[in-house]
Amino acid sequence: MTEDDTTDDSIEDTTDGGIDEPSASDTSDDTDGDGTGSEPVAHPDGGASTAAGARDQYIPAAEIPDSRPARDRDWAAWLRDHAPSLRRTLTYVVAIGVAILWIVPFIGLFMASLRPLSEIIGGWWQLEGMTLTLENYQRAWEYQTAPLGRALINTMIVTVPAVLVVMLLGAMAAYPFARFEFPLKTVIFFAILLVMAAPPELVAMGNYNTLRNTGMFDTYMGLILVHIGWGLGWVVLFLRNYLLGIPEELEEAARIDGASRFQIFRTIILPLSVPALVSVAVIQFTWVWNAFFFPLVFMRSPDLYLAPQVLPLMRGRLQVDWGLVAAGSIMTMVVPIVLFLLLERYYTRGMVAAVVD
Amino acid sequence: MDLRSHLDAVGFDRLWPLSTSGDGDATAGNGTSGDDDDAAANETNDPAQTDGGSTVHSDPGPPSASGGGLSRRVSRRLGIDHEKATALAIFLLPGMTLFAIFSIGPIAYSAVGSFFSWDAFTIGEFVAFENWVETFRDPLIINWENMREFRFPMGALPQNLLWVVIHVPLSTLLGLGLALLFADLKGRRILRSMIFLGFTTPTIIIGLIMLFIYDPQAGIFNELLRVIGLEAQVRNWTQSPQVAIYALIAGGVWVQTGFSMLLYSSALAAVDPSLIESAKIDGAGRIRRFRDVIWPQVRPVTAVVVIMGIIWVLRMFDIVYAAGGSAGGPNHVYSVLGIEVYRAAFEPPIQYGNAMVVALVELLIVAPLALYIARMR
Repeated sequence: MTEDDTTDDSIEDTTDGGIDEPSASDTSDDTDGDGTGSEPVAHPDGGASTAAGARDQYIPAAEIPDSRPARDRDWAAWLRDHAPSLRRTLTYVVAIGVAILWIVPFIGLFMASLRPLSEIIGGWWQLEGMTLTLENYQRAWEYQTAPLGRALINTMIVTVPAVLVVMLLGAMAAYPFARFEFPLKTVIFFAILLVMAAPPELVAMGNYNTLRNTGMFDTYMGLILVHIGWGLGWVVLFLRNYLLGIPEELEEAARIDGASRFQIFRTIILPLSVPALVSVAVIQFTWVWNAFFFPLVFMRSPDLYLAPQVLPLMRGRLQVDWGLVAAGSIMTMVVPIVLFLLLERYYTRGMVAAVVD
Repeated sequence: MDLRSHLDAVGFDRLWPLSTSGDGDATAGNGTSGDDDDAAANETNDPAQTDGGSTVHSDPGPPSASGGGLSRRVSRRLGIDHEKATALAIFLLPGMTLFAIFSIGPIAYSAVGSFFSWDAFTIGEFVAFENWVETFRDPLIINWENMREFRFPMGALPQNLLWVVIHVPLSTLLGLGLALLFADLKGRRILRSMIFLGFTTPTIIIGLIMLFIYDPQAGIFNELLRVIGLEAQVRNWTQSPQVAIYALIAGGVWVQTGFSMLLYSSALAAVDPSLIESAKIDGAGRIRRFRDVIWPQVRPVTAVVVIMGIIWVLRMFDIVYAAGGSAGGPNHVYSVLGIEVYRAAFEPPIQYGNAMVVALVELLIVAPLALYIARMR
């Protein structure tokens, strides 16, 4: 059987090497091919070896040779068959190289956040005599104009309600959009599309006056409401598309049992749309957390500053204090990035679904 | 528009054949017609009322309902209408009210306000297109003289468009390339996450990172130039008028490539591997396979990638603000439309009308694209 195995393997390798054309196929996940490849029937050549194996099974034990049969292919042929897998190795090298190159700026930022300014000026890539210190983080946390610790709390105070309310109201509004016909539906639909395309600057002037007139300017509440109003558009559209995929029969069955529309919404629609709601939560969270323009316009007192707002202030006048900026940036970006890494699947799916369909 | 005839038109009964609510006297007409346009809003006058009838609009039923048993059919339908309208109102109103106040309203406000004169934040008298003319004559928006010589600053609008023209093809192609490169590698999720990292980072930090990379001493880009022997090119790239915008565009591409890669990856994952396999058996080479098998299935995504890229660049604010403050760099050399809106609206001298015009120009550029995406669906 050794012979069989090697043959199979080399065939599998050849095919595998060939697929390094991007096919996005999940079949090539098991590169070694032992899982699927060992079924000889699957291979054109395998048929012969199976037949041979079946015959061998019945020869008497005494006639079985002591050593395995000689390789019918020399190492040159073997190498030729494996040539594509070298190419695949190269693909890996390039891919990993590109990916690392892509995050070099972040590595630099991280290094800078851990080192004193004098060493950063000399280049964060100089590893000789490296001093690691958390001093930058401490200074950023207590930054005198607007302490980042406070700013991060502010950001959380704004982000969490803005996300939760958008999820609730968005799901509620999306339900009629997916299931009922009502007047102005098309109009609202196009208004939502328009808002999704519009730049945030466009709503800044109107909201500025609205918040001033209602006394909500420079308050958490004002900024939260602006974020909710701004986010509802895409959330409604996104959840509507998702709900369209839920079979209506489920709701009809519930209606036969006498459930009201609200019961249907609460007991059928909401539980079924949990994956979509998680997507909404992740994306909306990163969006609100990362937002810079809205806080810049609507938050004016330093003790209400949000974290992204504080970072450009840390730049200083003459010599940029890179360590301070880097430490502040790391602390601010770690929240959305950890969330993204934890819920990557939801984020990715939601992102694709939100723009593609 | 009347709710009921609208519902008839869309086959409402088909959707809710088993509606249980019914009532008797729906035909009692009280001709309420205040703003019948918005039936949902109309119903909020009395959302608690559930017995239907009395508050529902009356009208002589649609033609289809005429004939025997008209009153019963009408009343049944009106009963459904009422219960449904109440439900609709409760579902839609909270969200749509906020959406109207904080998104639609301000856009309409800007659209109207752009035709009025403004005293700081207070609206003045109607001045027709004065703000528009003034804005387009503003050298900070379009600087014709410098444009002829292709010298920065050319004004925010041409610079923003230049950004689009360079950024979008680059980020699209890079995204496609990386999606293809990673498509069937082990650990591709990690590789993709690494590329995508920039897109989840606050864009203001991207701008600060740009400052850091291009810093004359601490920046790795200048160190790279020193290593490859281009010592003479070392400079503070984000503050050098004629090249700064390209340096920042590179940063934008760096971030947005992750996004286009994500979209392309999901499109590639949907390509049936057996198609590629059979193309391979038929002897199609790599290029052939890409051109004839993969690309046709991935092409529709390209439109989305390109349009999202354009929208993203036209919204550009944070990177430019981080690198050059609200002036958009030394002497506005890489100012973009978003920066001009902010400056006109919230920094003295306040020109609210002009800010609205610039913001509307942004919308006018992207609105057709959004409609195109909508039509694709």
